[in-house]
Amino acid sequence: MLELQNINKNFGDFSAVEGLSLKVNKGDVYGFLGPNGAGKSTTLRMILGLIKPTSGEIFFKGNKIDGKSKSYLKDIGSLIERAEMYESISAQDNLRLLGKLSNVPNLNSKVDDLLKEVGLFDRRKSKVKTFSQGMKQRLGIAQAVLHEPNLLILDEPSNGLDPQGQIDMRNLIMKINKERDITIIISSHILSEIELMANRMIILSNGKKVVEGEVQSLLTENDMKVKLKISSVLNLESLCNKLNSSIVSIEKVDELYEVELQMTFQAIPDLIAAFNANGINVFQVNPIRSLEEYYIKATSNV
Amino acid sequence: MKQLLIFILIFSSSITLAQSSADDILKNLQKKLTSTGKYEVNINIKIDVKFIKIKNRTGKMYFYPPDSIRFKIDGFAFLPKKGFNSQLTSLTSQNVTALSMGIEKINGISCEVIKVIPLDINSEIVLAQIWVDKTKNRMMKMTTITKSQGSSSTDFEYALQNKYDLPSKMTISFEIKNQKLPSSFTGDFDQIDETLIPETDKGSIIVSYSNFIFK
Amino acid sequence: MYNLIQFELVKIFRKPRTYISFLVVFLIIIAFFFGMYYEGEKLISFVTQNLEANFQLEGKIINVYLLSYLLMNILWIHIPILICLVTGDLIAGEASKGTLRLIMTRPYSRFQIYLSKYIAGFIYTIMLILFMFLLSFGLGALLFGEGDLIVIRKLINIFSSDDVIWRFAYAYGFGILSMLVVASLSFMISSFTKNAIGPIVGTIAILIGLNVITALGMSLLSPIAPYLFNVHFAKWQYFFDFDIEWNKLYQAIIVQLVYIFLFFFIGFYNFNKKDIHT
Repeated sequence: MLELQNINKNFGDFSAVEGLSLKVNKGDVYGFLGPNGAGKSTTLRMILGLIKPTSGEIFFKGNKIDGKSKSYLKDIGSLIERAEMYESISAQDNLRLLGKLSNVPNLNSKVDDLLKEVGLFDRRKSKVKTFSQGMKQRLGIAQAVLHEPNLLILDEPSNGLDPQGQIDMRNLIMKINKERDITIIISSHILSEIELMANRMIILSNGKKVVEGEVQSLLTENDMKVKLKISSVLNLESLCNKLNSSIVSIEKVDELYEVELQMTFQAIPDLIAAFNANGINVFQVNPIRSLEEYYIKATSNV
Repeated sequence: MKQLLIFILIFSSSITLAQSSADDILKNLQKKLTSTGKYEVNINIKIDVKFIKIKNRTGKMYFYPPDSIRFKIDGFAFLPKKGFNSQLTSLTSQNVTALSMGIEKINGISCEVIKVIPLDINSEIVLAQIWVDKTKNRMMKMTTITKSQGSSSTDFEYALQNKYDLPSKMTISFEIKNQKLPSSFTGDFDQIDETLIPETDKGSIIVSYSNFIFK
Repeated sequence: MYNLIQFELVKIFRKPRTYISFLVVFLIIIAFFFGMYYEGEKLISFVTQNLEANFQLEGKIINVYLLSYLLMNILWIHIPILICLVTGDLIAGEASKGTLRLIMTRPYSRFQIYLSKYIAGFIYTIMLILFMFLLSFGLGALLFGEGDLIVIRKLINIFSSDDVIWRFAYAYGFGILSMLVVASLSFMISSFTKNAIGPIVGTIAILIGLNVITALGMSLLSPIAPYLFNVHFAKWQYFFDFDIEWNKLYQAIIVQLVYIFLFFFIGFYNFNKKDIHT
């Protein structure tokens, strides 16, 4: 669906994006992660033509985006940062005006259906300046999907929302992804959001790609925590040391011990085998890998 | 001594004679102009002043004795402050001394030149001079010096025959101060040809009369 | 493209500040007419008293044409402010509010977006001037009636009432062109700034500065004066001469058109290459 090849963006002497290449497949919910100033928004704006790359190429649906023609944007919808609409105009009229620009067929009924979908139908005649931030964000999503794009780009869509608003936004995005079969690129600081929504992701730091891939496989590689329920903790420490893992915590629960170990994913089978050989029965194995830990580790190495 | 006395007597008599002759001429002229009664006449007014641009105006003038004038003009017009009747009436209605100053020719016509000096020191007119065609009892030219409006000169033409031998054309000439506004007020920053707009300039109103209707 | 222009016009005419402009024009005209109705004779007399020394003035001096002529002098300072209040906001205002990215992520080239805003700004400018024209003539005719027009500039020109309408038509047309220069200037500045105050203040500062400089330094600037756009703003008055200086008017029209295109292309060049961060 979308491919970036060796994209660079310089602002004077400052390199905001350096040698970035990525691929977004059709149907993906693709997460953009990175600390502030990592180049996430800059990259998304380059895809949308708001910012011109210094060098590199962008391909959308196999066609190169040359910066002159903007016709490719008819297949892309976007919500960049806070949703800003025309405040002195009603929600309904905002969508109708924008829909007319995109030559959306059956515009009026589509607008009404969309407003129902995002839960703003009752407030359709109200001016946007009377809306809360959450309502504006939902309206922002509505304008982004009004023209039925193939790709939806969302830059910090939960920005400024309270926890319930974030949940509502997440649910709305997932619903759109499933029901409309839209590929989604979502950039967010809220890591749990990415963990819950995205199937693929990229982490940027200082304008460079740190890692890109499937969310779950990224989370399960390298060091992680493993929670086990075992029958005995006899010789536990020496066994762990032999397998290059360390004990984080031990807790007795009923007749068993809940043990948390720091170790690699790949070492789990060896660990279980070693326990069995030493008479320690393993009743439960839970690999625990949070994206937050992964993210902090990945970005701190750059 | 005797000869001197005779000379003085003859000289005084001739002055008195000249004065009474000038008075008579004035009276005759006034009598002619006031005998018209009410009348109306078509007029065409042309303004000849360097810094005033206006197309000729046409309309009607209505005269009501002894010296009242009303105009009916299409659009805006610059009109003479007084008609020819009023000019003479304002002279003859007050105590004046009229002196004959001799004969001059105006457009080939011999005219008696009469100087008129109002005796009232409060009079608006300070001095006037009239050129009269005695044979036809026509005022050919008049110059006046007034306190508030300076001097003006009026020439009369008689090309149109009418019952009371009124002039067909009156040309009033005077000095007028320019009314220009500075460019910073009008916003017109172009260089202005200053020779076009002198401080004061000579101007004239030319009033042509036609189709007198006497009532 | 038509959809884009319509979109821009809807945005302009849904903003309260647009109606403030029309309201200000309305109030200025009402106040002026009110003043002239009650005090007009006194005001005019300072002009006529000199003439009254030698003439009897006959006819209505204060009429719809004189008042409309005097009102056109508002083109000097007031209308430009009202114009750049809206045209200066077209890019910079949207940039500061964050709505610029809404339109720029639509499938329209930057040229189409820029041009549509430009055209919408021009339409607004023309509508404001036409509103002034209709109100001054309509209300003026109702309150003061018709008559000949007396115009005092270098000379005193008196135009018959049947010789006046076409002059006003040309004068308003010329005035519209001058105000389109103002709109272009503020629009160009708008493409450089990130908030709407900059174009408004910048445009007014440039206009006032140029007017002061040309008024004070007329002789020094005379070689370049014909190429400054502000010196041509008042040339609509040339249509109120018996001998119209057509050559000067053609020059003024060409100079102003050049500035309109120049401002357009400078503004577009910047708009086209700039990165949109808001």
